[in-house]
Formats: sequence, structure tokens, C-alpha cells
Amino acid sequence: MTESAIVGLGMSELGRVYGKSATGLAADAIRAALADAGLTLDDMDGLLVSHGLANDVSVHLASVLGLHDLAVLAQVNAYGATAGVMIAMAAQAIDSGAASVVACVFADAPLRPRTRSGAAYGGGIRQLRGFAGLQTAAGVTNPNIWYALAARRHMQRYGTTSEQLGAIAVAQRGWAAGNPLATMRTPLTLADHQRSRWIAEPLHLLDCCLVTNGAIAVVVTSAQSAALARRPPVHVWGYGQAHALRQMHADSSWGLVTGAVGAGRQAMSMAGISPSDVTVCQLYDCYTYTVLVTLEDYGFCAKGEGGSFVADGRLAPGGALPCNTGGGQLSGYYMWGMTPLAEAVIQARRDGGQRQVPNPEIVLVSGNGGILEHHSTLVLSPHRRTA
Amino acid sequence: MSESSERGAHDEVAGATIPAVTRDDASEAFFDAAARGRLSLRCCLRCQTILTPSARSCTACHGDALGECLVGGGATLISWVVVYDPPTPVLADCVPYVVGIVEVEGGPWMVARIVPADATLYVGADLEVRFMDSGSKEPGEAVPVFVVTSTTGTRELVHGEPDSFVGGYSRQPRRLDAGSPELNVGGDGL
Repeated sequence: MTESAIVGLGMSELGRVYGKSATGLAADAIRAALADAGLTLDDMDGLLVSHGLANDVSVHLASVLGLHDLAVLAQVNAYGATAGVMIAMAAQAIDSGAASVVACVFADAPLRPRTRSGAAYGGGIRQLRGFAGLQTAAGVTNPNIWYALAARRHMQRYGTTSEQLGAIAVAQRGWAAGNPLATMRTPLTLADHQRSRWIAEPLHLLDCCLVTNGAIAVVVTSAQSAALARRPPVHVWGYGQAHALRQMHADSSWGLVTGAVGAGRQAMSMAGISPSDVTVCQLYDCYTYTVLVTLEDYGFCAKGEGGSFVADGRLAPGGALPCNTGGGQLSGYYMWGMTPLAEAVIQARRDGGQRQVPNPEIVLVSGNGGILEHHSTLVLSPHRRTA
Repeated sequence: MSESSERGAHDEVAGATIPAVTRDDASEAFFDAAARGRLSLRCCLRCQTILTPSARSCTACHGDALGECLVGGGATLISWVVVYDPPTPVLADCVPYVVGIVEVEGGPWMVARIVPADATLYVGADLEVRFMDSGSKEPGEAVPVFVVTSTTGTRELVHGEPDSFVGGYSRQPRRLDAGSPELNVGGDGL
């Protein structure tokens, strides 16, 4: 049981934003999150920092913000699972009394002017040396290819189809239409998805997420202090993490089963809920396939049935299980685990405008990093949990 | 040793292009064996589990005393992707290509090129290793690629529990037994 809550959400400019370092963007996001919470830098005694691809934000951010007396300060990295891990660490610091107001920030600026998004990943490989070089030479150079290998396994094993993955992309574009912050808002059809070029067959371009420059921060404090916050608090009911590193050996279930099994179980058990209690999902979607396999691993459907589960528009606006209601990382913006977390806060506060779901009572948030290896889960609610 | 006199002693693999790979200290035994047309893996000296060539400790017992292990060339296809646009400039001359995860003798998985690029593939397909020269203008080490040897076979889709994963297609996990593969616990690369 945790007695902590998110009371502030702040974003820098997002997208093809140039001229600012990740550190500068992170500072913008923290100032915005504190202002949102009705707090100031003087109120803050904890800072957790998460870097992305460009890797140019660190604990040095504290001095950039002029903070010289912090109780908690660390750089955290569990790749795409980091946002959920930071919230768990912040909640633990608050519950233990180590800190009272903890800001958690992710910032990245991998995009360069006049350069394709894809170049942010692995474009600069030159020397092929040793086993790492052998793998690159064989043709596995970036996450697109690893996730395609995972998706293919699922397709071959369970009969999952590209059209079923496409249904996830179409549903999320439907949500993005209602999100002014989303990068891609033009409606999408399944045919558009099928026609988009292969990135690594079986993954089409529209199975893959965007690349974004920017920063997002949240402010965590105790549930008691949260009652006095400027905006509606979003209570942390449960958190969990699990790290299922890729086993390269016979009988490995890599690609088919992820750390979401363990992380989800922990978080939902702590929150005292089951999947049927969840009213809205914000699931880490670096690829369409990640959403499908995470739904299975959380127990929304049986293993192998994710394809048919998502195919009928269940995740789309008007569907039974609203998922990635800001467009996610496929159509919204790519701020790693802060994309699902930020949208969870927006929905729980009923700030979703045109895309607001009617009943954001129990929001499930996932983070996924590595190649389906690192996983974090959060259960959030606008209501304080009654023990 | 990978002397120039030995170059070209291995298989001709039609249609495949692989950029030049160079060795480092950790991959010396692997590339020495590859130059002789052999697949060199690692083996746990404590529990005999056969491990990937880059393993530094045993995934089964966590032992860190590993030896070299030469295995036969048979393998099974675990997954594959087809890449049409070069994901990085060094692969510009290679597209379209198929790269997969293969399970080699003894159980370890390796990432490797599957040839030819237009082969009909399915999970569980039987493969066999071939060795080819990497690099063209600047020559590199001999590297393993895998060719499909079974052209028939059925793949069965199974809706099962996550824990009961293996099975569903015809596949026999290979275990270390007498005679095959060869263990070289001295690790001296023959």
C-alpha cells in the first residue's frame, strides 16, 4: 500500500524541437510540472532523472535548476520501463519519509534538423568488430528488427496477423485525432497500415513509433499533501516491475511472454484490482505488437488470443477498453514511459477534452524497455484508495 | 588461424553479401573455427550446458568457467525478418536480406543471415550452417550463414499457456551426448 499521488504534470515543447539540449528541455518540464501542482522549486526535495537516446541529461540537472539541498537525487535507467520505476521510487521515498516532493523527469533530443527520424537509431555504425559486429553484419542493427523477430514468433505460434496489429495502429490514430499534442492526427485505415512500407517484415512503418524531442515531468507527493494541491491529484494505487532478460537458448519464451506478467501481477495485487476493474489502459507502444503482448501478459485475454482481442475495435474510441487515448507513441509523441504516464494523468484528471473517456476510475499504465525485457506497471486513480 | 591462404576454403554462398567483420580477443576462437568451416560455441565446464559463442557465464548454473565447444552445423529456425531497406549504411549492399534467430546444436540461439533471401520459411524449419567470407573491398573474417534444408514440413498453431511454450511444431531440442558435438575443454581452438 502506498499513500502517494501525482500532483503535477509538465511538458516542454514536443516534436521537432531544436536548439535546446535535453537538459534544457528537462528544466522546462520540471518548472511546468511544479507550476501545475501549485508548487515551486523551493518545495521540491527529490529529483529523479531519466535520459533517452541522446543521453545528455543527468543529476547535473539539479544544479542547472539551482537546487542545492535535495534529500533524494538519482539518475534512473530501466529503458522504457523507467517512468514506472521512477514513480515507484518516488512513492517509496515519500512513504518512508525520505522525501516529501519528488519530481521525475524524462528528456531526450535525438532528432537533428533535416535528418530522418530513423537516423536517430543506429545510423552511425561503421566498424563491425567481434560478436557485436557479427550481429550487425548479419543484419540485426536496431530495435525494429528485434521487435519484428518477436512479432513473427507470435504470428507463427498463435496465428496473429499483420491486420490485427494494424487494428492497434488504427485505434490509436483514432484517439490521436482528439489530442492537440499528437504528431499524427490524420485518420488511418487498415488499408493504409497494410500499404505502409516494410520496416522489417512483418512490421510495417505504421507498426513503429515516432521519434520525438522533448521532456515530460511529473511531481509526486503524499496523498495527504495532495489533498491541498492546485489540481486534482492522481493517486498511486500500485506499482510493480519485472525484468525478463532475453535468454538466447532453447525453450526461451522471449518475444512471446514479457516481464509484464510479473510487473502486472505485483501492481494489481498491491492495488487490490484485477484486469476487469481497469477502465482505461495506457500501454507502452514502441510497436503495435508491444500493446498486444502486454494485454495478454496482464491477463486481459489468454496467451495467444491478443490478436482477436484487439481486432474488433475494442481499444478504439467508443470501444470497451480505451487504450492509449492520446494516440500513444505510435501517433502521439515518443517520450518513452512518460507518454503513457502523462496521458494517464490527463485522463484521470478529466483533462482529456475531446478524447476524454467517461470513466477514468482505474488507469493501468505500462512501461516496456529493452526488447520486451524490462517492464513496469502502475495502477492510478483519481480516488484516494480506501484500505 | 585465419591466414590468407585459408581464405576461400569454405562454402560459396550464392547471392549473400555480408559486410566485413573483424575479430577482437573475445571472438578469436570463433573466427578461427569459422575459417576452418566449423561452428565454435562455449560450454559450461561445470554443468556441460552449451552456450552462445559470446557467453561469459553459464545461463543454467551461472558458472564462469567456460570451454570451447565445436558443434555440428544443423540448426532450427526460431524466428526471422525480411529487411528491404538498409537500416544502416553498412548494410546498403545487402538488401533485401533475411536475418533470423536460429537454434544450433545443443540449444543456444544465434542471430544469423538466412539464405537465400527468397526461401520459404517457417518456425521449426531445418537449417544447416555454411561459412562465407565477409566483406568485399576490404576482406573480413569468415562468418556463418544458414541455409534451409527442409522444404516440406508443417507448422501447427497452438493456443496454449505461456509456460508450456515449446512444442507446437516439430522440433527436437538437441542435447550434448557422446560423439556429437565435440567438446574442446582446453579452449585452445584445436
